Amino acid sequence: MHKCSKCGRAATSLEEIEAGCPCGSKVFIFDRQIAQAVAAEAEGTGRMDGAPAGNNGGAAAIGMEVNGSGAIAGNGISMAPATESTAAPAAFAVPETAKGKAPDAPGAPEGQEGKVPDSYFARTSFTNDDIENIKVLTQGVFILDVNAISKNPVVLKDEDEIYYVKLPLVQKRAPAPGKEEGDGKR
Amino acid sequence: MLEKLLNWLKCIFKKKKAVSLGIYGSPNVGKTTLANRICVDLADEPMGAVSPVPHETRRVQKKENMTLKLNGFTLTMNLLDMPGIAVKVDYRDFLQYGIDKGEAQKRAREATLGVVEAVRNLDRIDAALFVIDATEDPYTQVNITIIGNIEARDIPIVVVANKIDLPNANTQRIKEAFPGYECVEVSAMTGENLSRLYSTIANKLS
Repeated sequence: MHKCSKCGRAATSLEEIEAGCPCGSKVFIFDRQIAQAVAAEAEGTGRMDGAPAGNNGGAAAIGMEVNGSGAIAGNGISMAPATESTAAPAAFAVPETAKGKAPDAPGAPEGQEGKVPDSYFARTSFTNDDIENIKVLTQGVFILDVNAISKNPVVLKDEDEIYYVKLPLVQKRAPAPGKEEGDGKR
Repeated sequence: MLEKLLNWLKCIFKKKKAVSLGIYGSPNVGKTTLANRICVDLADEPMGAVSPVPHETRRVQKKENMTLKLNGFTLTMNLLDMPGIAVKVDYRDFLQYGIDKGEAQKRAREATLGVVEAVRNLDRIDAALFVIDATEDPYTQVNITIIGNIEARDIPIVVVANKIDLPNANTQRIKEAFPGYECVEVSAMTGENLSRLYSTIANKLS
């Protein structure tokens, strides 16, 4: 769950993050506690797929989003674009159920109107089952598991479920003082 | 005093650490075929299954405590057959082999996990055999990057130009691409020149 860094208002969709908070702030912070609380509540109703429960073994939640308009955020901070556009990517449009307009639709049991949709967690969280550490939410919109990236090669999964791996490039260590370069066994 | 004595005894009786030899390379260059050949030669049993479908090896396979004896030199080694390293894993590449979409996507996921595992194992090996298909262009991102990573870690490396039994094999291109490394031309399939590979390994690690 992303919440506004200024007023604390929770954003329920990428649309809101892109448009910015009504308070004027464009910076959002991912709050795992809220996300887990909402997930637990939803699990109680048998709705959730368990998607948001944990970030690679319970590591600290770190989210990062870069959107197509050039807005960048890091270490749990998502920043809305500088433009005034409020158009959300179609692929991440908030289901009507989340807006409480279609309570009878699948995925929104009675009494759950206005709750954060499952798809929000599934697409903006990393679970133990995810091998990628960058997700493409839609064209130009990504979410990064920065914690995993620091330990593993960068793995990106695109919308077509094709994986891309950025191989690490380790720089050669500087030779120790007094040791000639090329002493190593080759 | 007693502790010192125990440490001294441990040093004397401690088993010599086996050298971990990792086999790296792109998918379908013959890593598992080579691993099987080495395992049969040294331990009389193969390592794993080979297949024309890329990414058949999706987990690191390990054969431990194999002994290479050559000209009075004895080397105990753990052989690690790594999954093929690729920068893109597309499930659609598997469909042409008659694998259904669901299975292909599962395979792509496992193959990607294998790439990550192989890269992470760069920190755990003592020496590397980097296998290149002699019938293919050696100037690839995987070849250059992984050899660079091994070099940066000061890990001894032998470049293995494989598939020399095929008519279009060109080992000269590999030698030109990686001139700073010892290159051994072999056919893992037929076993050609494997003895030279063993002596090169022995020289590197002695």
